[in-house]
Formats: sequence, C-alpha cells, structure tokens
Amino acid sequence: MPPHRYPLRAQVLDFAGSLGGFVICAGLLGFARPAAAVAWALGAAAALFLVYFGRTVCRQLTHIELDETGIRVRGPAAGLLSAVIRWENLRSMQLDYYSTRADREGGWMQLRLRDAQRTIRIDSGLNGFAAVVDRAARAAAERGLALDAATLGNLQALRP
Amino acid sequence: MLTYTLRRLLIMIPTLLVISFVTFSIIKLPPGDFLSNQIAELRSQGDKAALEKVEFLRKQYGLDKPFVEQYAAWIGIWPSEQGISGLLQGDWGWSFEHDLPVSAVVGDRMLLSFMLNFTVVLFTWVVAFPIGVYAATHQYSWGDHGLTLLGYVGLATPNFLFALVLMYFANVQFGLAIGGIMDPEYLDKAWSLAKFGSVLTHLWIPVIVIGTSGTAGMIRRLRANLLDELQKQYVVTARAKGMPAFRLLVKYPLRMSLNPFISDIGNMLPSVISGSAVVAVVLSLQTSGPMLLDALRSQDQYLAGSFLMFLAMLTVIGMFISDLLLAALDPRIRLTGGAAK
Repeated sequence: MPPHRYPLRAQVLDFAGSLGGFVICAGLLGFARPAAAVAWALGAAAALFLVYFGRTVCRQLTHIELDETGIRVRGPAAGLLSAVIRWENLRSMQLDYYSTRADREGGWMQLRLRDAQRTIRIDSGLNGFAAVVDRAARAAAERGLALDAATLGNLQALRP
Repeated sequence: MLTYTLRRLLIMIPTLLVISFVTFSIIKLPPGDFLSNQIAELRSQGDKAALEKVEFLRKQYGLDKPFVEQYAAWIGIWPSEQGISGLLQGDWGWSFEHDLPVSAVVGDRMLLSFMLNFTVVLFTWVVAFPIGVYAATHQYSWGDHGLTLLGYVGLATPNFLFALVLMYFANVQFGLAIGGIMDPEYLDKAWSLAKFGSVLTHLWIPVIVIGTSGTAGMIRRLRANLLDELQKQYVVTARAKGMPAFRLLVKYPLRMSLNPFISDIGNMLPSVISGSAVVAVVLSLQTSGPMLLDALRSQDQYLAGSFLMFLAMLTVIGMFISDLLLAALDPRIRLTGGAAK
C-alpha cells in the first residue's frame, strides 16, 4: 500500500495562518513597543504560532504507512518524530471533530491512536484518511476496545 | 486540540481588530466631537485661555487628522503628537469631559465590572445547574412546577424593574439602602481587605438582579436537554440492566446536556454586560456601565472607546474559553439530513 501524505493544498491554510499570526504578533511586539501585559500576551501568541508553523512543516515532511501488522509514522529529524503502533498493542482509539465556525461546518477530524507508550495523531487532511480510520476501527473492534459516543458518531459520519 | 486552539486563537486577532475599528467608527459617527461642542460654548463665553487649551488638546490627540489616522493612533500602531502611544502601549487616551487621563477616570471601574460580570456568570451556573437537574429528574412533580413558575417569572421580569422593586422593599421593609457596589467611605480609596469585604457584601444584590433572568433561561434549557437525553434508548437499556440511577445520570446524559451550558458562557457575556449597564444606573453601581453611557452621550471618545474595547475583549475571551471547553467536551460532528456537517 502506498504511504499516506498530507497534500500541500490541505496545509496551505495552516502555513498561511501560522505565519500570518506570527508576523502580526512579532511585528506588533517589535515595532509598537507595547505595554508589559500586552507584550507578554503577544509574545506568548507569537511563540504558539511559531510552534504551530514548525508542526505544520513536520507534518508536511511526514508520511504514514499502513499494513496488516500496524501503523507507522515516518517523520523528519532523524526519526525523532516517527512512531509505530502495532494493532495487537492498540489501547485506545478516538476520532474527534473540530470546527471553528459557530454552525460547526467546515471542520476537520483528528484520529488519536494509543498504545502503552505513544500516541499517534492524524488529521483528516491526510490523503486516504478514511482508509486509515477504517483500518484502525477494525483493529479496535478486534481488540474489543470501548469507543466513546463522540468517536462512534464520527465514525458513522465517515462511512458512505 | 492544539490545532483547534491555535486556529481559534488566530480568529481572535482579526476579530479584535474589526471590533476596535467598528467601536471607533461608532464613536465617531455623530457629527463633531466633544471638543468642537466645547469650542462653540467657550467662544460664546469669550474664554481665550480655555479656547487655547481646547485647541492644544485637539492637536495633541489628533482630532484634526483624518479618521483612519486617528484610529491607527488610538490603537497604537501610528505615531501621534506624543509618538506611538495608544491602547497597545497602555495609553487609553484623555477624557475630555473629566479633563484627566482615561486610566485615572476609570480607576477601579473596569475591575469592578469584571468582578460583577464574572460573579453573575458563576451565580447563574451554580443556581441553574442543580435546579435544572432536579426539574428534569423530577418532571411534573410539585418541585418541578414550582421551579418552572419561578423560572417564568424570572424570565419575564426586566432586570431594572426587579432592581427597583428590590430597592423599594429593602428600604420600606428593612430600612436598608442597597444601592452602590461598596460602602461610600471606600470609594476612590486603595484596595484593602476591608474594601474587598465591602464589595463582597454589596455584590449579592446586583448579582441576583442581573443573574435571575439568565438563570431562569439556563434552567429551562438544561431541563429540556436533560429530558431529551433521559428518554434515549441507551438510558433505557442501562436502567434495564440495573445501573444505579445516579451513576447513570452522571456518566452520560448529564455530560451530553452540559453542551448548551458551556456554549452559553459566550452568549451570556454580552447580555450580562449590556444588562448590567442599565442595572448599574438604577442601583448606582460604580461600574463601567453608567460612565460608559455618559461618555457616549457627551462624545468623550477615548473614554467610551476604552470601555467598549474592554467589554468587547471580555466577550471575545469568554467566547474563546467557551469554544475550547465545548470542543473538549463534545468533539462530535453534527449530522443534518444524513449528511455530515
């Protein structure tokens, strides 16, 4: 099975948002000489946006492999951001939906898989996200894991 | 959740910018400004020294500059006569009516407003939660009917009227004057334990007055949502399997019915803040409400603008917290007509 990747077009908003947020906050911090309380708030926001940008870059360089034995995340930084979860060791599966809009439309899903040591988080921007979720759900069912109401509802929404 | 928090945070920046622009535009909408009214008055009196001061202030605060330049200087991203000095730099401007810096005029009022509004939200939750749960779990009992009636009375009574009735009864029946948010001797004094205690002893009246209608509405919504959940099949199944009633209630239905409770923080803040302004006038509270109304009437633009920005920030932060809690509590997709939304 070919590896799953985050296509650039799915990440464009994250790149633009994190960079834009950082530029605005750092720009105000550098040029507007704000009061101490405002400076702290802007500094914290700028740091958060920088982390977000870094995470988006890492995600862009990451690919996910899926087979009958487990799921592998191959990331940058000499494998620092890589992780493997074997289906037989799967401890929990959660599928959440988030939206920043008041009508809860236009949101995204996040799959969280855990074994005893690590957690893998995959966003719905990934190519073939539904197939990954499907395989994980099958593994969770085989292991007899209890899924919460939100995960069950979101799984149902993903099925054709 | 990190992605959600950051995306949500990112939305706050343009939101606050738009709010600041709209706020400034609304304040500037009426023709003229505070100083132009003053100039006309002083000209008729022939007061030359005062006229010079007014002209000096007009120049210093850039009131002779174009609108966009005034706005940029006000938020602190464009230099004015005294360099870059605006909201971002902690300079709230000059109150023309009080002839003092806005920070000196405002004093404790913003803190007191925050305390009042925060306590109202807390009161609403603390009172509405047990009553709503009781009303739903004891549907059509005497207690439910009584609380429903009280809820309707609370919803139907305007806050200011409730304040007037309470003031009348406190005065006539108990000889108490319940106006004000602290004893008069603490006004304009530095914060101390005694002052804080005085605020606490006075706070309960405005909190009850402002919080009653919100509490009543919240009780109705919690009752309706919990009743919906309690009639679902999973609850019936759990009951049939012998799950203890309290454990069953707390584990799922209560958690699901909490959504509107959380999402209401964001919706409640604007109504609490606008409601508290009117009640503050009736009860003579030293909060931001009465001063904001005066500042808007007299076109004291920097004073009014500072208040409005503070209240808007309070609301935006409240909405942010409410959205985060809601996302953590219920990360479910909504389905409409079988399609994922």
